[in-house]
Amino acid sequence: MKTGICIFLGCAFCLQACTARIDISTADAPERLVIYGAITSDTMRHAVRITRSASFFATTPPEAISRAEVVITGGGEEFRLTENALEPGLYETDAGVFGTEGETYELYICLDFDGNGEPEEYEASSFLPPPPRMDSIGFRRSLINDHIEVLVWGGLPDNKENYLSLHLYRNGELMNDSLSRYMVMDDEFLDGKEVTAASCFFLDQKEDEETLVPGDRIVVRLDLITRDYAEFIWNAQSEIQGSNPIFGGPPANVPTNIRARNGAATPISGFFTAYSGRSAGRVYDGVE
Amino acid sequence: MMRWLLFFLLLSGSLCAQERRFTVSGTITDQVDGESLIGANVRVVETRSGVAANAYGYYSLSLSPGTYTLQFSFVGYATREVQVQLRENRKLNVSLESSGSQLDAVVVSSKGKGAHVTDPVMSVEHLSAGTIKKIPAMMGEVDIIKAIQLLPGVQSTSEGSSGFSVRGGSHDQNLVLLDEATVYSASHLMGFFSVFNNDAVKDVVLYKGDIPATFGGRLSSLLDVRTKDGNSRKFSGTGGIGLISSRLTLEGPIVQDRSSFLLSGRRTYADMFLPLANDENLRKSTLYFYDLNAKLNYRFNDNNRLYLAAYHGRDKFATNFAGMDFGNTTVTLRWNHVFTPRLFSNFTAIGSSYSYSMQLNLNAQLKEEWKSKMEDYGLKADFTYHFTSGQNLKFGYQAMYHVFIPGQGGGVGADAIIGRISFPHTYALEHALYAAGETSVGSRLKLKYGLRYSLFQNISNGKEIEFLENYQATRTETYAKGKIYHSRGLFEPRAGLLWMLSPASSFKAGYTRTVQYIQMASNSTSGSPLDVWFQSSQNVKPQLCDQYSMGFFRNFSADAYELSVELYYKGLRNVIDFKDHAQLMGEEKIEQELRFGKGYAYGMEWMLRKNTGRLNGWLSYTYSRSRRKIDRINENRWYRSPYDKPHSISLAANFELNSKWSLSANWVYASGNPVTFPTGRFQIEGDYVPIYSGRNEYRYPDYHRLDLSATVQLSPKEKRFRSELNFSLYNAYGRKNPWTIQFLHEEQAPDTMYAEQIYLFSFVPSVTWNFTF
Repeated sequence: MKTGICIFLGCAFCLQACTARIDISTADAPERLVIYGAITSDTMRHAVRITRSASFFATTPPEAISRAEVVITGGGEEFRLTENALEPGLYETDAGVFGTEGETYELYICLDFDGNGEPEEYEASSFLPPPPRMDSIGFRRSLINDHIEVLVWGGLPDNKENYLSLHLYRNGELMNDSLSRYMVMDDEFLDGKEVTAASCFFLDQKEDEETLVPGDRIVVRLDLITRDYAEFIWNAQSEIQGSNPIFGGPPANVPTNIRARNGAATPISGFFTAYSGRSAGRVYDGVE
Repeated sequence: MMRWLLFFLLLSGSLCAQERRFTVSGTITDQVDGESLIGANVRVVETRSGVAANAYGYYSLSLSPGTYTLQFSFVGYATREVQVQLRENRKLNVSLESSGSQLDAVVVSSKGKGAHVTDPVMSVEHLSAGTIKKIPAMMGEVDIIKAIQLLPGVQSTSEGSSGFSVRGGSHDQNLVLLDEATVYSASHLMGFFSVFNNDAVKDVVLYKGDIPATFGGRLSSLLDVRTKDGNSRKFSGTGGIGLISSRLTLEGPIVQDRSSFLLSGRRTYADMFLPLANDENLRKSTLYFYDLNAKLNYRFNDNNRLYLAAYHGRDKFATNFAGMDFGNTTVTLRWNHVFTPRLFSNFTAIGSSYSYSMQLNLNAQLKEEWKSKMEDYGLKADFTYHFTSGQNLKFGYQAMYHVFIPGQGGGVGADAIIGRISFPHTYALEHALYAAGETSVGSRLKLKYGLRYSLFQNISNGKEIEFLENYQATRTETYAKGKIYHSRGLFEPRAGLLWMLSPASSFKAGYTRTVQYIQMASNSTSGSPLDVWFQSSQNVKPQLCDQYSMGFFRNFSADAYELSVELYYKGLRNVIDFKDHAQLMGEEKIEQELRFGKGYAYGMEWMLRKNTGRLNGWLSYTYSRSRRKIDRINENRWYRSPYDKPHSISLAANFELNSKWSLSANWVYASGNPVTFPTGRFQIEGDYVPIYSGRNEYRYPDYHRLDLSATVQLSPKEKRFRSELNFSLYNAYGRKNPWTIQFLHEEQAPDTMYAEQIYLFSFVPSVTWNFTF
């Protein structure tokens, strides 16, 4: 129902408001250590990115933090991540690594954030949930003008609650490719654990970015994520989008699951997570 | 409790003379339409004592046998003197003649002459329907709540909103009553208009702190709106056609001087133009609201009168795939009974309901509905015993049964993939027993005292009840359906004094404790129609407010000018806020989203008001601060409440240019709303996530706005059918007051952010044709 509420509010609140640029003067927040990474059930290189936060009105990309020691352990294995030579701050496992469903993974990082010559240690952990089942996908013209719905058939594990993250690929290219466009939901709305013709994406055919052309190969990836990670994404999306005086609450910093060891006082943001996923796809050949 | 009652009776009784007295009592009404004049003064010339008529226009004076001159007065009416020989109890009903035909007799107050200085109640604002009508209105819609937002100590919660904050309190801390029934959501069209149709309104009183013991249940204020009884002398009508709505009010006698009726309706018609839109979605859309007020009254005899009042209003929005409607319904049945000339009573049965529903119909799988509802059923018995002139005791009992249905709905139809959900209904009983009195001690000192005992009882719905520790459920209990499983009672004392410094000036002081047992689950500043309310419980303590106030009051030039300066301090306990990123919409376990703490507010209000004359209106300045400290919010540090606005100024002026034209203007200035701004950022998956300052550490730019209006009479006042045209210009100098500020990426430089304000209104001109017959 929350999805419905959100769609409705979006429609109901199309006020004929005007906008104008305004100068805002604020103090700069103290720099934060930003860590974001994941290990999944896919066999691939898994990555952790480490950067430094900046002033809100900074004009350059975030500063990467190099020369960190990054280790992921779990399922009886240890993966040492090495910094990508072309992308400073991006630490990767070897290729061919995968996480095991039902295991808990620990992230360990050692780096000198404040540059005092004495490295600090950071850690986080995440459970890797069992995967969903993906049977197939389909397409349908939506009641919303000029929209096509992407439908999903599949099933969810028989857990008390599941948190889903959906990604849509067109010809191998991720369409919801930024955090604010991630589609995350819980299964509270589902009538049972079976997913039958669930509308997951609404593609506006008047928008070039979303237009489907017959022959396009469309793939939907369904990930099972932890509740903590789902909340991290929701909270981050909420803060990225901002709020309004009628429906929004006061803004707040997005909590992290990354902790400093030994009581280091470094302010930290970001998240480390583990998740499992499955995909299904088909070639788009138009809708009636 | 009995000891307190005894104390009141003794205090009141001991101050009464023990000699034999007779009572003169009756009602004070308008000569033309028979409407009772709430707050009209009766003064005994010989004893220099007096009383004010109550909410039904009833007065009672007890005097020693003799001959007296009674002076009946009300602002805007010609004073009338009546000689009374009192050798037995007398009934004396009096009608006063409006002096409104004279240009210099325009009135903006709805209270008795001099009451500003002589009434021991402080922190109270009266507005007449006439005053409200003169204030320039947004889109021509005359609005009570927009009018009270111009009063000192009252702030709009956001641009254009019908939500209001009183002395730094939240918008859900205002008890809004329409003919004694609670109105839970007093706004239409996402808050831009209030539910009150001014044509049906007789009297508006806002208590900003010194809430009488008769009322309770909210911390900050009481907005008491009373509708007209209906013209008991002749059939008449009022109406208007505006740019976005039209309205019509009909009233008249059913049985001459015995019963009358009032019927009033208003509807917007913006949706009627939607079929002309180019956009197909827009053509299929619905967008309107309406209000209906009805009132009947019947006077059986001088001692018995019955009133039946009802209100129903609803907003409807719909597109071809989604819809929403919401609104209030209230019904009040009142019976005034005069047991003896000294004992006046009113018995009230109240029903009030607020509900909303939403529908979504994207396809057969995504066809959903969601409904929420609140219902109140109440009974009240209120008594006033008049000991002597100026000394009375009010006492009574009230009970309200609350039924809250926080949400139910889900998928519709066999193909819906979404299941059905019904959040547990919550039930509670709210009782109150009260006694309050006023006593004169000598000629200069008046004492006001009262005690209210409120009791809130949660009633089991037969389902599991959670008990929380550290905001997490630690155990559950199940009680039989209908069983009271949790009770909480609290005393709410009231006290005040008035010291007459001179016949035209006084000093007042007061103390009020108020308790709030139900509150809105909203963490936005102005609230929305989708907000649900929740009750105090085993996990949620009632909120408490102790307010101390004092002030200086002075009238000039035969009450034409009123000056007041008031100071107040409010200490708040068990203050409720919501955890960071709280999910309140569609959330079953709201109690786990709450966080508790304390707060305080203080301020000063200054007001100069000119009640009569061709140029009338008021100028006010308010200094106000409001802060909170809530567990786990803002790292447990004190922070500004969303309603902390240090400085605000309101100027409302009306000038009667001649018998044909009148001009009005109001100008408001207020410090910007507190806001939490981003001060840093980090990047995740291609998006910049903000890092924020402390809660409400910054402010929006200051708010100011000028509104203008001009009214031209199109027909002479002596004609039966009269009409006028009102031209208004909202935000006359086009100030871009930010409604909100958003942060966006520069298109050409995605790593660079900029701030953009959204402002709702620039110039908003409108024209309305009003008529009466």
